[in-house]
Amino acid sequence: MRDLELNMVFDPSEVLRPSSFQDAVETLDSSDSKIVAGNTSLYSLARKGRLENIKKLVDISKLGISYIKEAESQTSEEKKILVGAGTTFQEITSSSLINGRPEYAGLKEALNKSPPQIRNVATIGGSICSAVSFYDLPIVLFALGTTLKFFSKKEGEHLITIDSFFQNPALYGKSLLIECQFSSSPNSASSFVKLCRRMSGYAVAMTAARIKLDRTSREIDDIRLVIGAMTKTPQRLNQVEEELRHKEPSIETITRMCEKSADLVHDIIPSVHASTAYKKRVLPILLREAITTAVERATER
Amino acid sequence: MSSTSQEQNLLFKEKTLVGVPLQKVDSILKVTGKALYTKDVRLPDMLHAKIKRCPYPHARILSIDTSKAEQIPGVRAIVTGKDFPVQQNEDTPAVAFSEALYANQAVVAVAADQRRTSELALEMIFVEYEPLPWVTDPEIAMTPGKTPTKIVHPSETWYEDPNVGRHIKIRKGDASASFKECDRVIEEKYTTGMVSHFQLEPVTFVAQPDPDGGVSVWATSSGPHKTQYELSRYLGMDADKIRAKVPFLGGWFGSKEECHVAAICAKLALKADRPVKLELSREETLTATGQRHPSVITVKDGINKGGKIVARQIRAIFNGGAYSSLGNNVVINAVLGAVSVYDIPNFHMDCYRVYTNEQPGTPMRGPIGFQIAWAIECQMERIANELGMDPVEFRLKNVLKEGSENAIGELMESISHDKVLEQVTSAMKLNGQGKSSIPQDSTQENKWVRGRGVALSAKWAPGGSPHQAMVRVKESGKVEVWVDVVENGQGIYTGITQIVASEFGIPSTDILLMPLVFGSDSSMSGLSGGASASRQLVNLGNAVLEASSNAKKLMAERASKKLGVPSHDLDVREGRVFSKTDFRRSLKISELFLRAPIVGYRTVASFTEGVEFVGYGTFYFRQGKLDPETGMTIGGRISPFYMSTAQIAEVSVNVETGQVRVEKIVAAADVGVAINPDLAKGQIVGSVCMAMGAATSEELVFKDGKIINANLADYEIPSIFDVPLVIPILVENPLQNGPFGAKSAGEPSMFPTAPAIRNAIHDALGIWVNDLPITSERVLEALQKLREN
Ligand SMILES: Cc1cc2nc3c(=O)[nH]c(=O)nc-3n(C[C@H](O)[C@H](O)[C@H](O)COP(=O)(O)OP(=O)(O)OC[C@H]3O[C@@H](n4cnc5c(N)ncnc54)[C@H](O)[C@@H]3O)c2cc1C
Repeated sequence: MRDLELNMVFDPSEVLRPSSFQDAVETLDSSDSKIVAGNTSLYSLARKGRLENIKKLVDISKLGISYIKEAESQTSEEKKILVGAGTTFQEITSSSLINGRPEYAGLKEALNKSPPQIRNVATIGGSICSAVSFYDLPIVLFALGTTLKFFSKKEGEHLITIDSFFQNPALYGKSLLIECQFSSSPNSASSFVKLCRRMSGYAVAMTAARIKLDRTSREIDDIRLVIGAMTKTPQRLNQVEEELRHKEPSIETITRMCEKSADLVHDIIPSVHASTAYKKRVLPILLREAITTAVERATER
Repeated sequence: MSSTSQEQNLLFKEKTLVGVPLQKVDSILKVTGKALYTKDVRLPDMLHAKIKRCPYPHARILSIDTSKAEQIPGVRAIVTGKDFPVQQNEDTPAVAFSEALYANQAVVAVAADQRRTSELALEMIFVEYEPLPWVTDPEIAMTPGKTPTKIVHPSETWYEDPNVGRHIKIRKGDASASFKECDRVIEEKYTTGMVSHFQLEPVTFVAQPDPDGGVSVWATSSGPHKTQYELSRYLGMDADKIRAKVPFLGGWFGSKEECHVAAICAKLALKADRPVKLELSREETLTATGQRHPSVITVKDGINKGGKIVARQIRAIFNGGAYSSLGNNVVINAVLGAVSVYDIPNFHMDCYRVYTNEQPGTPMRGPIGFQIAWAIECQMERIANELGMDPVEFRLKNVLKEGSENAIGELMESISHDKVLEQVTSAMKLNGQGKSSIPQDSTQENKWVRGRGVALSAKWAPGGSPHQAMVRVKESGKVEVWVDVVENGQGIYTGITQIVASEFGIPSTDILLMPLVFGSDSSMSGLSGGASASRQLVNLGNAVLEASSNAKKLMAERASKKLGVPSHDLDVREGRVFSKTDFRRSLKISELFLRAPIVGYRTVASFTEGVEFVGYGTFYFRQGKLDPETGMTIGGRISPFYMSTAQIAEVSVNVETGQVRVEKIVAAADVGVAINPDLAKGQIVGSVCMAMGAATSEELVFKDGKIINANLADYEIPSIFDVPLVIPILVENPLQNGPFGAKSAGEPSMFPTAPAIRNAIHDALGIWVNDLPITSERVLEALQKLREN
């Protein structure tokens, strides 16, 4: 038997800093190129030998996509926030558009889980486009029902839901993410619950919830539940959502529904020191905590 | 230390630095980035080496084809197992010869102008393997008929067939017979996983061929002489031609006893005739160098009605990995850990180190004792609980008393078992109440339940290898100290400085500690056994005191005529030689020197006629042996002394997820006399944090014979956010033969942390977890078991 386990060297020969989306995607068109944003995830892929064929790095810092702002046309019912894909975690958590708002409380919790050194450079775009299920931020963005604005050579600027992105992230490998859009409505709130083995580690399991309560009946009007670090990509729990929609959010109902959740999730992948069985056992607990927290927050509004 | 200088010490008490929390003498160097580490060493024309490693846990090497790699421009040397003398022992070979015994064992190494070239060359080297059956479970490996493979080293037979590299027996009294007469017999099995030292600085070496055919090596090692003599064996080269230098170490904890890696570096340098640097990556450090031995330990105890343990039987199995190196030596620590705390009339122990297809087990901070303390202190809690006794009272009832003899026949002297227990209980205000005395968190529907647990241990202090020192007194009264002392962050440079400064009654700034300037260097100082085993402060401390005293004698002899005082009546302190009986009769040290031009007329230097004021000192504790059949000591003690240590942990446990949060740990340790109390406390706090990691989150996990979490994201050492409030308590019970009464502080506090945390979890929830690490999953499983019963 021949040992052919190659561990090739990451050796990019060019770092390009395009100033237009068009230039960026032109370069991305070749198979030996890759986008670099905060470089906190990319470098570890390189170390693992996953970027052996990459020769060109496309640095997106000159594209003017670091911002967080409110969309211009706002209705009184819905307020939309636009975040450039190159915006760092720190810029988002310190924004007045996010702070103190129950609808984004989960977002802030997720952002603050990363160590400060990472928060200062890691970008929202890098976090999503890494397309792994154990990063915190995408789980909440998923629960918030974020819309992603991509730019590709073929389609130019176009919007897709984060739901469809996570259905097949590989489809967007040669596209540039330029913006994330999420909106909030009155009586809504979000939450994020992460279980890890240390205070600052990757999640063993996590859940995020966004809940909108009906203004008069106080029933659950709308709900989005997402789990991370359990399956290969983040997953929405449509069935549990369905069961809870238009129900009164009593702790009994929530607990009962959550208990079913473990059986609804398939292909749970174990991590070091957390077996599939363990993840199954804690899922209902994390889910319950995420839902009750979000309900509490929405009720307080 | 002479008694006269002890008296003077009292007279000049204000001039001693013993007990002073002096700022570390190397702190400025470190915070300004000027301290030199092996990684910083860059030599002209230096090559960079890389190692190709075996992808299988066990494989025969059929062929190695280096022809393509040799043709790559910039490749200067390639070494395989054939470049080294045939090894006649069970040590990890530099490079595997015909068989690789663990995944990631070195198979071939390259040195090239650039690191990239070396990496590329590795890709162009083709190795043909025949994968062989492998075993990683030591219990299977040592069972005849069950083990899938036998690990055979050249010229070495096992202690016992199959795969037992060492077996130590202790037979005191008759444990089996006593069990029959006991009121209660309790037997439990405890395990610990493979834990890494995770020192900040990975294993690194730089080797340079010397003009005389020898080699100089900069090493991440715990002692330059260890590297020198080990390299001599590995290279088959005269030790006198090997110069080993150890600059600052970025953490050690036992991790860098990897002379097999140094041998690769040196061999490449000699072959290429150019300097070579070999830096292991974090992954290589975790998968290809030694880690803490995993263990499986069964403890069986017979107890009488009053709560006295009458008989104990221990079967301890240590997974030694594929080779021994220091491993077969350090398993004796299992015995020292097991006999040094409790007084048990019938004591039987069988301790095995077993070969498996994992990387070799190596010493790690309190080697083997950590595992034994885990088993015994878990067991003590279990018994106390079953007897309905207070855990502290139960321990006190069974503890070895000052002046008693332990199970291997050593006299227990200068121990403080009761004292450390008292100190932690009163600091935690435990008063035997446990959980009920802790305010529970009622806000979160009691999901987090608090509990407290205690553990008591003792750490030995091995002698074994000699430590030598030299001091030279200068005209200015300053004192040069030449010792091979290894500063791995623990503060030993400061400790040695304080000891010599105190002996001469001079400020610390008047001590010229040469390793601070040059690093430790085997060719510049006397022999030293290095930093391992909590021994530098005591062993080197005694050596520098003897050296100081000898230098003083020379000065006294020289001053005797001038002062008209017999030399035995003279002492040297505070820059003067003076009569101990009449302080007025004294002279300045400078008066013992002559001055003469050294360059032209104006540049003048001082010198002494005849010998310089240089004193030498050697500290060597001659260790006895254990009788192979009874385990009783022959020809003297094994450990010169023991250090008592106790801790109480307070934890919160989440009943739903099984998460454990360590809230607070009170840790008391008998350090003899704290030469520098801040540094001694630092050692306690550091130990507790490190042990907490091993207790709650750390373990290298194997799948299919390979480690799957060899990185910081998956291995998970505690971060600063995980560290609880640690309250260190120094218990000072001076050691008669310690420098100024000092014992050691580096390792003992590693022992009680894990069992104290586990016992606290029991206090909180009534569950027993017998396996380390105590993961959330294990806690939940235990809870489930409890509910089912
Ligand atoms: C020490 C450390 C600790 C960490 N701790 C946490 C933690 O606690 N929780 C957590 O969730 N995460 C954690 N992370 C991960 C961190 O969140 C991610 O590395 C980060 O989000 C990636 O963002 P980046 O800007 O650095 O992306 P990069 O590393 O630059 O890129 C990541 C990937 O996204 C692609 N990409 C980037 N931007 C775009 C874009 N605009 N359009 C298309 N593709 C793009 C890149 O090509 C690459 O494939 C940690 C990372 C480190 C190194």
